[in-house]
Amino acid sequence: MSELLRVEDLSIAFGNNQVLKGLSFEVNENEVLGIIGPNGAGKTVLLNILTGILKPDSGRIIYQGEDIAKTKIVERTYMGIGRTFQVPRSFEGMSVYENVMIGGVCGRQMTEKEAGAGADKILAQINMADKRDLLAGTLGLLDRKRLEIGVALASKPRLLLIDEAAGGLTESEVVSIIDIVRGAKEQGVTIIWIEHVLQTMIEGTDRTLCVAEGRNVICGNPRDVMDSPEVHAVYLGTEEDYADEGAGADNDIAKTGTAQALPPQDKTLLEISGLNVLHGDLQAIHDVSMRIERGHIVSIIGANGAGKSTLLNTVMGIHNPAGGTIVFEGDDITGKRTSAIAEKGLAMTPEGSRVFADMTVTENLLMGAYLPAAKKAKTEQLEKVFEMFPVLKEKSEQLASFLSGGQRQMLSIARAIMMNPKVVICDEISLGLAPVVIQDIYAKLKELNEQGLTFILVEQEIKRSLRHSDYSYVMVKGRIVLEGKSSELSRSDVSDAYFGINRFA
Amino acid sequence: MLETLPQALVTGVLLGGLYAIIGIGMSLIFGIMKLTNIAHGDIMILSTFLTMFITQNLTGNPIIGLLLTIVIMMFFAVGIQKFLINKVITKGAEPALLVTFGLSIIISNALFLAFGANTQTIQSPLVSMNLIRTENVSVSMMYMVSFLVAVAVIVVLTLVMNKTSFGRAIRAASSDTVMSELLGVNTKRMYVFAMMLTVVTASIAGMLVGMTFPFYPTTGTQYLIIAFGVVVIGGMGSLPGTLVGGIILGLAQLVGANFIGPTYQQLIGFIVLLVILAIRPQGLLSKAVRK
Amino acid sequence: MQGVRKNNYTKSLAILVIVIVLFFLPQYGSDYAISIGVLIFLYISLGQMWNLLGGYSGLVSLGQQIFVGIGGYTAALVTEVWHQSIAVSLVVAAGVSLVFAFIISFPIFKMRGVYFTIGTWIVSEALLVFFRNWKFVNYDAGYNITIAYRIPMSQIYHGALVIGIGSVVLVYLILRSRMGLALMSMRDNEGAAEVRGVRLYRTKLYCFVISSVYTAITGVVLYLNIAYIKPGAAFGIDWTVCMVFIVVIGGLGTIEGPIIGAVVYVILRQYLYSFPGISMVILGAVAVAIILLMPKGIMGAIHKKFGVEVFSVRRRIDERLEDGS
Repeated sequence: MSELLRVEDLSIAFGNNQVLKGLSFEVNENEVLGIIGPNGAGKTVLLNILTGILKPDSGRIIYQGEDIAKTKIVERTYMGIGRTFQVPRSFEGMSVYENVMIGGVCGRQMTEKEAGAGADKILAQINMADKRDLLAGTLGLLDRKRLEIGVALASKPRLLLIDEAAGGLTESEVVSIIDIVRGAKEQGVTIIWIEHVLQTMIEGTDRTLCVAEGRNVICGNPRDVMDSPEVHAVYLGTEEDYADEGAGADNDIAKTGTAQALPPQDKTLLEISGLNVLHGDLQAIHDVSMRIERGHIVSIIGANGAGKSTLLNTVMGIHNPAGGTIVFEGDDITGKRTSAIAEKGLAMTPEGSRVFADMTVTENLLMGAYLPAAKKAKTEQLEKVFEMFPVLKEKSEQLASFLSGGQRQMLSIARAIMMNPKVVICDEISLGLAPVVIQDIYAKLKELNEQGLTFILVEQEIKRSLRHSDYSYVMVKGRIVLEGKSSELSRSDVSDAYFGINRFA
Repeated sequence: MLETLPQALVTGVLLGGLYAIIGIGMSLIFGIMKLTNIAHGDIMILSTFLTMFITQNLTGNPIIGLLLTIVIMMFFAVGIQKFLINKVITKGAEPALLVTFGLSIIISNALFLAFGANTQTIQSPLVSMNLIRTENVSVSMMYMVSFLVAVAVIVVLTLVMNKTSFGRAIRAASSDTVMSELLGVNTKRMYVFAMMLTVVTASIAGMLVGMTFPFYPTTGTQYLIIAFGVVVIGGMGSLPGTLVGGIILGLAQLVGANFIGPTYQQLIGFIVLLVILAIRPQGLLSKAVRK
Repeated sequence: MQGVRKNNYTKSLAILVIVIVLFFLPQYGSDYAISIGVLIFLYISLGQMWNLLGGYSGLVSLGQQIFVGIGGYTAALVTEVWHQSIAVSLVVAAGVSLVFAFIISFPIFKMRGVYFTIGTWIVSEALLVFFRNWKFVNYDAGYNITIAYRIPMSQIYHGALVIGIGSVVLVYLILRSRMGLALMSMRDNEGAAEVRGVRLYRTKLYCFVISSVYTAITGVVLYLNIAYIKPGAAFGIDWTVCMVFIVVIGGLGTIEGPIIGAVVYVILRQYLYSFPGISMVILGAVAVAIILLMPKGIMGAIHKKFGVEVFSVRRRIDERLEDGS
């Protein structure tokens, strides 16, 4: 088999964040190469580099024997590189048929007649011939994903890059996507398929590559890769990662659950009942109910696309739910304005830390003390926070953009603490951080929890989540599939649920 | 022509101050709401007319006229922000732009209805005074006052933005709306405050303009272009940049007119602006690199 | 399928009948009706061309009056000063505007989004000042276009009719072509369009040039109708106000939109003529209200409620059957 694409030593950084670190792999003609990896590993960035939307800092991209690092986006389409987008980018005001025609007319300079004939064939391939004249804006999720592939196929690509086509779909819907991809392969297309839904790898790909921390961790036969210790380590964490952690204290929380004494009265701080949230036509959250007790650390575990961030954003008022209620300390906060919800005592550190890059560390922290309740205690809180995170005190007059990823995460947490909140919600604070840094942060969280602060932690990593929390929820595709006291949940139960193996669906 | 150059330089710089204060409001709105307010020039001229009207008919003192105008304009600001702009700003760039365009048409024609097409001025003793008068250069008192006021306003605003909690909140809201909401900042209300600030600076600028140049209901357009020019040259959203932008624009106009002819003063300004827009639209002072 | 085919034939027939009736208006209509007709057809053309830019390509231009002015001044100079026919002035207007559009496209297209919008406005204001000071065009005094007095009103009317209907046909043809697919995809999602192989710059440029040239041709007849020209009015923002109003009220991004918008605009202007000054205020207020309440304009609201489209550019099965394929 000859090589169609070879990527050598690809590296790219955004600010202080090194997303790809010398990634290398090849793709052979007419094979389907699957790419998996945890969130933040750089998979979509890789696609953007391959299509020309981003330029790498270093490394080579050899396609059909030529280095295409300098080729423009449009040229690459003409050279036969096609792609789908994670969030389908169809042309909403045009019909399905017209959408597919664009691929042919503009991607391959065909005449209308040729493009039209080609479009009909593709519509048959993706099983949407009956939906030909519907406006793309009215389609449901599965159809949009199929259309996305169809449009990409219309430009007759030699290399098709698929970005998470199976996310958010049911079992049978995923099967129809796998069929379409197989069909494309039979026509001679070479395919790179990035996916989070791990079962598609086994059924849909010839080889699987796992990318973590910006590197090629392992590549080979899909089943072997999925069962490999490397992949398990990436998703579940290894024993070695926690070797340095104060052996006694943390294990105590997980095993005996006695580290916190629950206040006797009014234990429930936050109650979510029957929550349903829609993202356009897609139901992102199905009938979710949770109870967060005062003084607890609660973890929400799930793979990417499980709906964790959507859930948090809905609690904080960034999304409005279609149904269900959210009650905080007895007050109904469902659908209220975000700033009003923050005023009630809920603080969130969103995914990616989101510090104000043009402000200094101190200014960022002072923004945490914006609300009147927090403003009064401003100076004491600032001192307390500097004591907890000495590195922030060191860099207090520097612009936040000069901080490293871990320091930014600390700043984000410190800023939330400045709000003097009753509960802090942390969305994937360990993303992209070195294990040592993560240990440090979690130790601080524990300190704060012992002082009475409630935490809701959302993570992808199972072991860490179970270890550091009192109670856990496991989410898959917008539903809670497993919950319980962290000390009573076994790692194998959780990882089964996490990987979507159907004991709980 | 070279003998008149020093005068051109001096006038250019001082005029730049006036231009800067005209542009400040636009810079604020763009920096905070990411909106280009096409009605900005007309809002300023509206305040000029109000000041003139109040001064002529109620008090004799333009300063009191200005203060009353500011009060009225603040109500106006709250109205248009709350009922027009906040409603349309979430719908995308095009509708917001077109709404401000519509607003511009409404204001300029309403002024025409109320005051007719006659040229107006705001009387002030400062206009005929000269601060310095030498053989080659004379510095008009009016221009100097405008320049100093402009600098003062910019300094005050910059201090507010950097040192106060309110200013910090506004900067946060313009940097990351969602994150500031999570910290308890009501961003829609911040926008109203920003609009009020804009209107205050526009009113001050309006009074100075009314004393320096003749005006009529459609003058708003030419000041819109000046405001836009000032903001673009100095960098969208940069307050000190507005002063630099104003001075550059003023110098370009006056020096150009000095060598090519006074009738071309405006035209030269336009051409300089177009060149800069084409080559470096993010502004001369901006650190942003265009992708 | 038979039923759908029949529908299309009926639709085309109805349109043809309407066009013929309108064509013969000078025979039976009053002078007032004819002059209203002229205005409506010319404004339809202005609206369609602005829509092509702003509604389909996403280029919101506040400077198309540049080309109205170029058209008008060409008419004035060619007929008044050089004593040539109107036909010659149309050709010259097309040529001059073509060249000018190309020249300013270089700097203007480097500007994105709102910079482009204001950039177009600045160019028109610059042109205004330039013309005011240009001896070649008689400075600020302008010209009386006397040839307009020597031709019958019906000729102007028919000219306007042809231009108006021509604009609709032109836009329809463009949208049904490959460029049309590209334009619609750019309107819906520019980033995705680029990845699918659409050449953004080239497409926008063609669109801009076509729109500008046709606007200039419309400008010729507009000024024949008005019969005198001065820089302030020729390059005034009022033309753009009119274009924006027509398109926004009628429906951005639809073919029927500018037609409805032009009718509404002309009627509103005539009605408000007795209240000078207020008319523009009301016009502005109506436009703002429509943007807030019916962002897709009147046509958009109709389409939403009744699913009706008169000039559909959809490529549907029934149309392919008609081709016999």
